[in-house]
Amino acid sequence: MRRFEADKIIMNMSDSGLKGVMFLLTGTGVSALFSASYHFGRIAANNPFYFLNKQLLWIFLGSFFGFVLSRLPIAFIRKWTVPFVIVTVFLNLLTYIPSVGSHSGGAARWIEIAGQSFQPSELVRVALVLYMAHILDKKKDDMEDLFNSVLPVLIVAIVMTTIVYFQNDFSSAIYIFALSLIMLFVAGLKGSYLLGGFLGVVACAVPMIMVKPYRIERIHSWLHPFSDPSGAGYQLLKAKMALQNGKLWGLGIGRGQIKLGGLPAAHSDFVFAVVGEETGFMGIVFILVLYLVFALKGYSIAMKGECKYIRLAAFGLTSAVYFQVLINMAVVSGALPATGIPLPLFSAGGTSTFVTLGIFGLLLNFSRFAKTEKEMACYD
Amino acid sequence: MSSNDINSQRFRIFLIILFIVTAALIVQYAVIMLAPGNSSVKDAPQFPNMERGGIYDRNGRLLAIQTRLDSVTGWIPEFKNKENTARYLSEVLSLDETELLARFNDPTRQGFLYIKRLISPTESHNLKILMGEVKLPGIRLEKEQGRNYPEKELASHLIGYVGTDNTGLDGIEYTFNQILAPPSITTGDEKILYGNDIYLTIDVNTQYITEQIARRAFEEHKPESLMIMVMDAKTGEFYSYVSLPSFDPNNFSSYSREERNNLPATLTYEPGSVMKIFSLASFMELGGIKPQDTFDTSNSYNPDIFKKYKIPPITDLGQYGVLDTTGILVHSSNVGTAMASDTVRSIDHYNMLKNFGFGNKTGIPLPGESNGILNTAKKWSIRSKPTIAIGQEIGVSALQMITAATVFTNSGILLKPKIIDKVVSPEGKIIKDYKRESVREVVSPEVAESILLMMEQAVSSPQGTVRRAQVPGLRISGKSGTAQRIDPETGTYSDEDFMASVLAIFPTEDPKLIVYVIIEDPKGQSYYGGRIASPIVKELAETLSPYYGIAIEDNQLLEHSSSVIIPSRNFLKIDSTIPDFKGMSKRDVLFSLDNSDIPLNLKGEGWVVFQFPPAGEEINDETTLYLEFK
Repeated sequence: MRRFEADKIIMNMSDSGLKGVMFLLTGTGVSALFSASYHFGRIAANNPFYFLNKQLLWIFLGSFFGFVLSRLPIAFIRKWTVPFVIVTVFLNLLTYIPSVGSHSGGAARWIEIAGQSFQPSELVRVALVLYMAHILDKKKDDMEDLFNSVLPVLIVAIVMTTIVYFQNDFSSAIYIFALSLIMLFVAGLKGSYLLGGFLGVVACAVPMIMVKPYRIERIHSWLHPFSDPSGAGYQLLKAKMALQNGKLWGLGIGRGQIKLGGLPAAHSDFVFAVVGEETGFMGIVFILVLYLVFALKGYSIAMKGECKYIRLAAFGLTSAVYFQVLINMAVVSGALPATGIPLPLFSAGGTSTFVTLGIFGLLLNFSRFAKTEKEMACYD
Repeated sequence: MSSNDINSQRFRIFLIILFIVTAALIVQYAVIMLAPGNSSVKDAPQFPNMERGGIYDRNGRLLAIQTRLDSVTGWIPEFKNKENTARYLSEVLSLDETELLARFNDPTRQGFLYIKRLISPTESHNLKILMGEVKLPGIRLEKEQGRNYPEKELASHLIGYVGTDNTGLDGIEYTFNQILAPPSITTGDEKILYGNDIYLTIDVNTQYITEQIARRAFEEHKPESLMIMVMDAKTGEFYSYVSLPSFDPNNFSSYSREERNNLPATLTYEPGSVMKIFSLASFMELGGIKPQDTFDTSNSYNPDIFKKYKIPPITDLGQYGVLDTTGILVHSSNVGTAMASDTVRSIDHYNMLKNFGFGNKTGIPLPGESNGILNTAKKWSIRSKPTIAIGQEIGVSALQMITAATVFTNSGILLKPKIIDKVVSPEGKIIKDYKRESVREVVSPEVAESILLMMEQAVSSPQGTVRRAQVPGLRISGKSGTAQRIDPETGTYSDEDFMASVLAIFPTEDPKLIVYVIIEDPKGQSYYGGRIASPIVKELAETLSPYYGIAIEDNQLLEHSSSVIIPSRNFLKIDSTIPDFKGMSKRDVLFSLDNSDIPLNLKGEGWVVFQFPPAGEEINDETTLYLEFK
């Protein structure tokens, strides 16, 4: 009863700056998506609003989900973390069943639920971060003990990574494993363990690249986009051209050319190229700064957190979003080879939007606790 | 902070690295977006912005034009159901369903792919209907530059074709790619740049007639290949250029490499007896023989040195007895030609053939032109000189042969063959006008003249090998040839594979056209050039002569001036009676009645079908003319 009253007081104390950034990102993202997708929507679905409507629906659902998450007691979240991990693994395994998994892009990454396709691998990053924060907090006094604290965490991380890898999503697998390694790094894992883990990843990644020749091709086309301008390097070249057209101030919102056919799937992973063309370098900087503010807010929650759980969870969730931003922007600018990582809230994709908004809700939840001195909610 | 909590030192390291990465990313974007003159992207091929120039015939008739066609593209991550997508698309685009599905499932191409490029407007229409009915996520239509060849197979080997990226791959499209589509210097902006137009020397009418004749002959003789070329005797311009089998450049990929081969330029073969005109001209020019010299061809050509080395003698098909130089050509005597070759040195003969252009490319702007094979005189064997003189042991291209014949029609001067008439800029300015180009004087005007006259005998004489090309009232000079093809497997002469050919020039007195017909490996009863190629020459001469203003005396055709007379209008003079208006157009009626003051009552449009009063009636003050048009 006492806790309930405390919650009521705290409710008004969630970080309003963070909230503002979240609103701005969601609004900007959906606008950019509409500009990038209306032409394609008209051609592909006979409806220029097709992608906008879809995205708005998911923003609505995601906001509700985030709102709920922002109000759940932390203890409740922690209690349900392990079942959540199990459900996530289960849903991901469903993609291997041919009748449920929806094939696209050479891999079953989607499952159909009530007519909507859902990408369960998007859940993995949240499940993993929450699980790691939960366990590492619980076992915080056993950090030196390899078998008791590190191994369970590492096993879950490896299982998740493997599941995602076999959905033919190599880049997401790398992203997820890197995320867990960095969490372990910040959590204070012994350096020698970390080094071992890192070398393990490299040892696994190299043969995995070799197994699928198209990955080498992607890396090759990233290094030499002009060697095959109509094939694998095509998107990269078109994205670069769009960015060049943008110059400092851009061609104007809605006036971009590249989305009119030059850049395949402009509304998807390469939406940032459209943003660059239409709003120029200033628009790019604006969005990057928005995300940076978001990240700093998130990390400050991690710094001020009441307990190790909140700190690690806030750190992990903030990183989960910000890493995607960095990877996607690096791909669009040609600094990294093409991957399937979307730009959160900008790229069309229901699951990604839904999960990102859920993460926002969790961060708001943590920020409330970060501001209260009254209660120690971090218990097992 | 305690060791069991998050490691603040590591956290700081992490944040610093994150800042550096973010800053680097901003710099990366700044470099791409703000750096002036960043040329890496500008060097990229700019396929869509260049509108390739057209290709026209000498009279401006369109042979190749740029179009904007749809390409079907797929973005595989967007696909919902690959099986359905493949099924629908294969139906509309007439593609193989299993093959298409295999492409969709190919793990190496899991992003963007072209499903079918440059589809026809019909396919595009059907696909749009389909996309309105069923959702095909990931499938889209993109406008791309396409190439259309309205005359289809006409002169296709000459014109060539263009690949899907708007790059010429063969023929003029290939050699003049930079002219038709100059490399673009601007990037990014949507301004369409235009390439230059190319006018060929080809005349579509002549080309069409020649192709019709060639196709009929192809049907009849079922040869491996058949080539006919018609050239302006005085300028070296090609009027027609036919190579069968041919292909439709609109759809070039569905034809085999053999069908796309530009044989007149690329095929090297032994010319056979047609070569004798160049050999005899050489011997005359070198002073070895004179037209009135006689040769006893009763026995085979078998000099002592042949006997010594057991070289088989050179023989004739028949017994021709004593022949003069003209007689050698008329009967196509191998023995006579071989005897004549004894009057000159090998090196001189070789130099003369070089001067005729053998062993070198003619320089025509077509890809893959053959040099032919002409060994230097040093490499010649004892047998070489007489053998080359009768058209063996030498490899030529059809282009070399017809070009060499310009020596006889230009007082001994060799011309450069012309296929391009002019290049015109998009603004209509003539950028390059290709003029008649002489290469060198090969023989004296007298030798050229006498060869023409001797060749005329080969056509007009009753024993002449080209007598089947006779056209009453037209003087034709001609020479036939039949050569065995070397079997590429055995390296010896094949018994079945022959090249039958005739080279003809007409009219003899003032040559206007050179015609060369080559039939490779005819399947009919005869393989002799004189027998099967001569009728084709006759048909060409009969059909083309009126078109080129060449008089055939029997037909009493008058040489017409180059200006075209438009028939004067069918105007009526109105006097005292009503004229007959029936069948006249409304325009003409109104023009005729312009100066009269007869009241008119006109009904309908078109031509007069009814009039009142009828023709012949007197015109008075009360006359009103009623005309009904249909």
